Amino acid sequence: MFSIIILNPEYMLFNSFHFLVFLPIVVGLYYALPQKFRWFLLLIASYYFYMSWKAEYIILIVASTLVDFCAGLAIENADSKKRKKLWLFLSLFVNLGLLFTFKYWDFFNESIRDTLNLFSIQFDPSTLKLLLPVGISFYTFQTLSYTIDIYYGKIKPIKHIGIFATYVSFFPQLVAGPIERAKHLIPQFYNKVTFEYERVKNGLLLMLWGFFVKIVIADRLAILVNTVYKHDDANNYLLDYTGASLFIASFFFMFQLYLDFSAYSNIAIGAARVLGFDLQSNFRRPYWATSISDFWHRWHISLSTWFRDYVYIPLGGNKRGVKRHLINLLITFLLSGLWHGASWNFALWGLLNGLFLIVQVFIDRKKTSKKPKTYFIKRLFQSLVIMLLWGGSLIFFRAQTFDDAMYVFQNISLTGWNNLYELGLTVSEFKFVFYCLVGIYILDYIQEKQDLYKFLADRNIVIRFAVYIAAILMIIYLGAYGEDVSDNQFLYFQF
Amino acid sequence: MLIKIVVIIIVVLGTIYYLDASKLFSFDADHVEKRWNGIYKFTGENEIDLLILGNSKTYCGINPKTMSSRLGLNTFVLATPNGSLTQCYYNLREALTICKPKMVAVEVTTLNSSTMADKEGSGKSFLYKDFDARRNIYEKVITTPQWFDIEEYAFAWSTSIRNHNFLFTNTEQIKKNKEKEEIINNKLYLGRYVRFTSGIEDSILNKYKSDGPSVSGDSLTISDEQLNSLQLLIDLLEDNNIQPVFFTIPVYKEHIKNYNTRYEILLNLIEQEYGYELFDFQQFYQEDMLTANCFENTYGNQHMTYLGSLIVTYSLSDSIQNSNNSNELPNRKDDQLWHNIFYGEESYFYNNPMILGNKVLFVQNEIITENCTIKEVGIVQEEKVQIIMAKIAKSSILENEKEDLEVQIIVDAQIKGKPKRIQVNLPFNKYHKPGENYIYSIPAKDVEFIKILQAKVVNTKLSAPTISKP
Repeated sequence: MFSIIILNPEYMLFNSFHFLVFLPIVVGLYYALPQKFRWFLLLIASYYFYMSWKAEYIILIVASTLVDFCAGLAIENADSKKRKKLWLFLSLFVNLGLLFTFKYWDFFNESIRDTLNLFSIQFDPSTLKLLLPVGISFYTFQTLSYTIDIYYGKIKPIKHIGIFATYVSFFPQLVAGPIERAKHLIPQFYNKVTFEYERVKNGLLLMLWGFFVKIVIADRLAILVNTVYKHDDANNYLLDYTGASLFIASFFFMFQLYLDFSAYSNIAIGAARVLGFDLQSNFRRPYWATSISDFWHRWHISLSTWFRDYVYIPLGGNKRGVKRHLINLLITFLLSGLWHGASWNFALWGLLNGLFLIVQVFIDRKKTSKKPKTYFIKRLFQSLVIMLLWGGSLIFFRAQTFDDAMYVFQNISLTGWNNLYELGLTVSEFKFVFYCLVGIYILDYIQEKQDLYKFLADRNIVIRFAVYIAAILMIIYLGAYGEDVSDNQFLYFQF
Repeated sequence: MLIKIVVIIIVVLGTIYYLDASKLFSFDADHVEKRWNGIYKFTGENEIDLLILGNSKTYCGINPKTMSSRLGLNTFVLATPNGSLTQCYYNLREALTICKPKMVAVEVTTLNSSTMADKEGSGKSFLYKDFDARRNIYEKVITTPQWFDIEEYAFAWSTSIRNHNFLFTNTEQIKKNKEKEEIINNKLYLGRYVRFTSGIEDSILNKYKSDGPSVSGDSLTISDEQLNSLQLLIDLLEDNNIQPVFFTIPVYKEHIKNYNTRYEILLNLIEQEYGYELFDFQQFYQEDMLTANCFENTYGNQHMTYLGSLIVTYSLSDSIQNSNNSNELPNRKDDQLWHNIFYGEESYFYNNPMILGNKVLFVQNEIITENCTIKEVGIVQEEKVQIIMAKIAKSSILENEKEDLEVQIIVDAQIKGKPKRIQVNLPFNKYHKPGENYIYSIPAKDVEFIKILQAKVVNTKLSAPTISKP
């Protein structure tokens, strides 16, 4: 499934030199401009940011912006429920239509073909093979929430098309979220932002941490994962690996996905904070969750809450009986899986997580309402169980095909550790990255109890500077980038 | 806050600078670095008269010491592996900050379909090395956006950033760099790099027969970027009053087909559009000289061997000497300082008189034979071997007989310390073509001549010896 996504490597990634030049220029101009012109600067910067990937696809964002802006006003002004509904459907039709065309058309047709072939019926549909627009799933969901919220009377439509366009395309979160609600983000474009040292410093610190996690750890994990899971048109290299190699690759992928995406979110939130915006946090130490439902309160929070508010609750949530509750969970997670990618593997991944939650529902029903005291050993055990279930489900997420995923499930084991250092990482790299994972895991646990950013902020200037400089130098000298590293994109840019 | 950010930036940049300067993350120095060090060193003490630009075909195919010895001038080959004309132009810009040659010769396989953005793999590595080795900061700043994508700027400017993975993948190199002592090399280096000593073997010749040529002249197009660079290069040379000439290093005759198409394009561009001379040694291929042993044993990208390079170097020398603008070039053969630089260097004694010294172990002049005079007979010490060499003035024998002749000398000599009387036969040396003489020579080892007793020039086909008067 990874191979069907084609991305241009010249895209302005957060971890690119291009972005390191772009951001300071934007920030400088932003604070130099009077408040009333800043939205315009952000709009231009956001469009430039997006167009540096594939200029013509900006038309999709513009189309989405125009349709939802007009639909929002029309819903508000419509004199009947029927008319309101009509405008909402128009918005849904255009946004989901674009998403369907670019992301699901080929998958849909190929699935029909495969199904008909089972009954010996020949069907040869045309495939579009379109280049998937970066971030289409994110900005589509963001704009959809706007019109739906207006329809349900939760928010009023915005009258300023420029600010609305900036809300849709705001570059820190345009391509991979967090998926912001209009109610939260749009008012911030009207705030009079001044240069506040503490806020800017915190934003930069968050970005620095994001860069460190992404470049030093996640991209190094990716080397091993990509080596083992490699399946291109010519060869399926995955079949060369068995036992512990599959285990370690799947284990590393579980951390890669978390670190890669949380790093992206940190950089996005940090960059927005530098500009005076507050974006919602997307991760809250998910691998220290105490249960599957707790996990989903900590993982990709902006998407989980989106599905909760716009799919799960409108379906009836847990208010229409147990049976319907379970079906609602399955539907929500199936759609969440398909949101990630047009493939049955993603659908299965979603369904599997829905099933985990169903099991959780039954376990929770037997529990007493009294909250038991948690001990570290218990937290650790819960954490390991969560990682085992989640990591297992991610095999569907990472494998290229269903057969690949089945191969991994059949051959994964804890035996055969002798070729551990032949999976793309040198001995020293492997040890380094392993220690980093242990470090991250411990830091996450500490962070559960104590705010580490505050802890650092309370140290004296020498220690703080030493930490900042060490982090930057570690990114430069220990980072996995350069000629030998072919793929350093953020994983969620594909969705 | 600005001050704090500036402090952090200074400390970080300072660390990077320190690590770059310490060369901990560098590969061992190679010919690319040696070439730039060479031109800076040479121009620190001397002038360059003829600068030759090109790619690997050029530094394998042109021997600057031979050319200098032949023409009596200072020649430097500033060619880069996988180099394009765009690279040549920016390298020339930096070269012109330290020298002002009278003539610049540009090898035209650099005029190809590539662009700087196309470079990858070893081509990109060589580009980084070329950029690393350059020293002029201003010129490097100008070059950066032309050679590199914005994402590559840091790699281009910092070796430690580019090779930071050494920390995990090549700690041995870091250790080696840490312990390495700087070696000061005072040898004269003019940009040549000898890579191939043996020629095309039967297996490749058979492949040419079965598969045909590996390159077609029809497909050798020129990108807009290279055309633009050509214009810039010519403008730069004209602004500096430097004479440009263009030439082609040949590949084996079976290696390319339809070369005429390529030649027509080059001719139209260089001679008709710009009005400069093109010496195309592919189009005017020397069938009798450029045999299989003159070319690298490969079916793919082909370079010249040492012997091939001698032929092309002399051909280019002759072309330049006979060109319309040869009067622009000085003749330094009257300058003792020039002789001091090149004395004993490769090809020097083939092109200049053998004067007894630490490199000339024996010499006897003006040996008169029945039908000609042998100008010099001597033994010169080259790097690994001795060469016994005789020179006969071109004017004293028939041109079409030269290859049939052999110089035979009988000498009292010491071989490995023991006295012996020996006969030495010196065949015609077809690779060295000095302006006034024909060369007859053979390599030798541990021979010390005491006295030449007899000398004769024999036509081996007619068996009619001419006995000299010793």
